[in-house]
Amino acid sequence: MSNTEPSVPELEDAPAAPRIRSSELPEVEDVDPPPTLTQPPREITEDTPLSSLSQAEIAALTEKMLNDNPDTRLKLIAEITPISELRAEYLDGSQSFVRQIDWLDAHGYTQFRRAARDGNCFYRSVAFSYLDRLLHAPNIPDTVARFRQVLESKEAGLTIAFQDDVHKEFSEQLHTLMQIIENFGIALSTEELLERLLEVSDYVSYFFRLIASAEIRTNPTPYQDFIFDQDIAAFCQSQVEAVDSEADHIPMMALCNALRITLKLATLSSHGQGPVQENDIFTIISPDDAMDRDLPPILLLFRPGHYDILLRPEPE
Amino acid sequence: MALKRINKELIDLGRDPPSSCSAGPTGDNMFQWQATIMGPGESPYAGGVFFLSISFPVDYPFKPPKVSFTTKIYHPNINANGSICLDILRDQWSPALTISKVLLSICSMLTDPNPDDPLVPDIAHLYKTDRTRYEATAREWTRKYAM
Repeated sequence: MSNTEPSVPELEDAPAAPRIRSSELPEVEDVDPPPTLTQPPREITEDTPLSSLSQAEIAALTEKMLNDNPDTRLKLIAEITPISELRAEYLDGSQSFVRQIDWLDAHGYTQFRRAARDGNCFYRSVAFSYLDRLLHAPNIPDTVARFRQVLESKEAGLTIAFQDDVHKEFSEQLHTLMQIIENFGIALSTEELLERLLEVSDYVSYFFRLIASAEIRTNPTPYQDFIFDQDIAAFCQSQVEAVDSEADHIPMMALCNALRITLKLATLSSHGQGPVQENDIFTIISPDDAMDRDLPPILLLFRPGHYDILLRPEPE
Repeated sequence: MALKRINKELIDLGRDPPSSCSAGPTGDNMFQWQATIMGPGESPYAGGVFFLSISFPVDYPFKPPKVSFTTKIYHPNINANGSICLDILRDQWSPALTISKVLLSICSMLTDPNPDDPLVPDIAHLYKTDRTRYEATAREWTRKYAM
């Protein structure tokens, strides 16, 4: 085999080489030069010129930086922040937002955690709250066992929905975290749990996407009337399983139904008029067979296009 | 975490190699692989061995790998740079996919080109209007560049 032009002259009757007119070609990304087979990795120091780095070296350095620097990951879910900080951001904007934030603040919802705006904010926020509630459950081993049982029953459904065991790679990270909670109990702090989750939160978020998708695929009745112009499989692929697709009310309902968990969603809207009512702010998604009624609900704060984690600290 | 997944795929490829494909790292850098595909028997690429370059992003498997042909190939969905127009390498990528599945998809694309989503419109046009000439040219390129 050869990648070079043959030296023999082309025969008259040989098939004409196709003419690829570059003007007709769509823009394509740069392609790396063919890899060389033996290139020992060199040591990269502060003196290495940046322009000399190969694509592979840049990839390896970025991976190392992401792994070495917990700050990069921590920003995926930030530290506890007073909700008054959010209020300050809207002082010059929607007064309706300000009134609703004031209502939350006055009713005990005084803190929140920002989630990164990378398309995973809903799933990552649910994942953190899902685990943090286990850590604060009155009886941790019993609660972990109950949650685990529901997860395992759902995983059997995943194997059927996707005709494969591919989900295991993603679910195992969640199971590991639950095992850590069970083993350490209250010796594990919320911040330690958060740090461990953020090491694998892409995996857990994607597992929750698969759970929501399988729920919609295998039990479409509650959802199909809200899916327009798309069949269910196409919707699930593009709006649920795609890693950067934001969750709307359909996957949100599906995830709660599948995991049998209760979600309390505070929605800030710019349309609010007059005094703020609790009913206007909160939407509660609580499946009939919810198995977490003995725990406080998962609290999320929704602003158009984005979810953060809302917190209602226990009175001292 | 990306390295863990890439290592696992390498082990799985060794344990259960897909027929007619192979893949592995080119050196010490696990993020840079080379793959080979044998031209499918029922296609004009039969008998050819095609080399591909694979580079994994740092957030693999949550972003797709970059896969391109390094062997020249005459195909409606593969251009002169070796870039491949395949939905699962772009917006239809899923973290549940693996290099093994990607290579199998490329194999089936060799047997069944998709002329309605072409990367090289001239080849797609020929594929639709003069299948015999398309196959002759593809065979000739295979003989010249992939054997």
